[in-house]
Amino acid sequence: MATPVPVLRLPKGPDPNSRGFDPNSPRFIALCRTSISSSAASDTDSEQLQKEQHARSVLREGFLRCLLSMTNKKVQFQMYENVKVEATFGASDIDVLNFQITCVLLWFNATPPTQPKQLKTLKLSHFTFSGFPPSCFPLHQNNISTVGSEAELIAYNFT
Amino acid sequence: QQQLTAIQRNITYKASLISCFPSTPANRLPAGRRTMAMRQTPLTCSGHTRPVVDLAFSGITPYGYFLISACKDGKPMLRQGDTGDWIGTFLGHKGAVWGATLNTDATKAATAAADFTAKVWDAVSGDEVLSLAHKHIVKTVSFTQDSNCLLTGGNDKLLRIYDLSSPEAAPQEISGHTSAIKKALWCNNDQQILSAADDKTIRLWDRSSMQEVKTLTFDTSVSSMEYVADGQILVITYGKTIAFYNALSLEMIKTVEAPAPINSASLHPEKDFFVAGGDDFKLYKFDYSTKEELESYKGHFGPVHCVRFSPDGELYASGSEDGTLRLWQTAVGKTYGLWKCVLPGKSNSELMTRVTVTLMTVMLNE
Repeated sequence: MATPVPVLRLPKGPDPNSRGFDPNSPRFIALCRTSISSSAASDTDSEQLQKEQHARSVLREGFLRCLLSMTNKKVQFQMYENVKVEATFGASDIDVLNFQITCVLLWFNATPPTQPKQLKTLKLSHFTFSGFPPSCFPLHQNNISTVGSEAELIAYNFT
Repeated sequence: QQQLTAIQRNITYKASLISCFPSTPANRLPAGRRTMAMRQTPLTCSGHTRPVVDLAFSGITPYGYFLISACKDGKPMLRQGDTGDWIGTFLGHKGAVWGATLNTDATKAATAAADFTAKVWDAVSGDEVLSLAHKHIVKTVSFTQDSNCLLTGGNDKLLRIYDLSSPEAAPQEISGHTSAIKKALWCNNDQQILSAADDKTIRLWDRSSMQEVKTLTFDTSVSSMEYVADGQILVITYGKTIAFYNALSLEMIKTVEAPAPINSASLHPEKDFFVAGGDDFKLYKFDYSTKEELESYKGHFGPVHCVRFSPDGELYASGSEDGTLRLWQTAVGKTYGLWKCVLPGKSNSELMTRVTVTLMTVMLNE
């Protein structure tokens, strides 16, 4: 007797680039209210819908312009557990969960790395674009707080 | 042929017909009783990067049933209950998530975390709906049946009841426990609350009066608690013991001793079996009526922290220190979800019948 196949396939795992909740799934389509109130109405007011679409496109353009204006600027990130990261801001329209940065400095980093890095925004408290020298060498010890375990930098090679 | 069909229908887990699942070898029961070789291939759900400490199933919905897992990586996940397929991750907590639950129709989720918040989520879109600040680590969350209220408990030793239709209003607070609360549940049609704490007590509270009704005291901390509404049964674990209590009177029904310290147990919806998992990394299945240990499976690479039956009883899920969830079949060899017994050739049914009769003969002679 040949050995039967007990399992058709493995359970699908998480998508590393998304938080999931597929908006095209039947459950989502059936149960999720749209964020646009006019679209949710059975008799959609086309003029109202146009206005809302215009507002969305204005917001989107504003976000992209903001991203571009931040590109290649020096930025200091304040992360949880008193970790500070200094870097050069990149422009990556991935999602709000990740920023692309280069020339990353942590207190133990004697030589700045050159590959782009991906910083997880979940660990961020806030970030600023002013107040520290443009040099890529490490700052004095008293300017850097203790590195905590929560700082996450994921190497992401652009080749 | 009719007799054989009847025998086949009566075969449940005891005849593990398809011994093709590469897992643990046979387990032997004491007192001359023997089971057949018990093997199965669990469905392993990866994705978490730290220990899985809690899990919960929803009820059965038109879209199936769902499973939520709480993990120390701070990212609770929603999965399709019968396949383990990942649906989404609830992003927002800034610390380990200690407790997670779904409402009956899986439209809402709630989580309890070390960042001193309990959060309510839209379980369809994954959006965070509410963040409820606490004064200490939150360990447990529970919806009422109508999903209008959320019960929380944690290291500040207080039970809190939030009215989700008025989230800005201050929660009702119930004090009394003298140590951190690890589990709190609604019971008796949401008229009462059961809570288990590190003070080695389980307390029953009246929702209306907010007063303590009854207390159970143990010699050691209770490791888990499950409430089965149908039959009003409370399943408690402590040490190597799995105990069953009447949830209304808190009178003990029975206790069962496991081979190893148990962290979690769950009673089958039909109350045929219960499953338990603990520090020896194994899952155990027992007969609820006879207390007989029926099956055991090794699969996890770390202690089992939580185990729960699915709402249809066809499978049970376990969460472990190894960071995985595993789904196990209740009736091994049955076609269900991603498990499919495929036998080659047209003589499959005849072959199965012969195997069935042989096994039954062996078992009856024993």
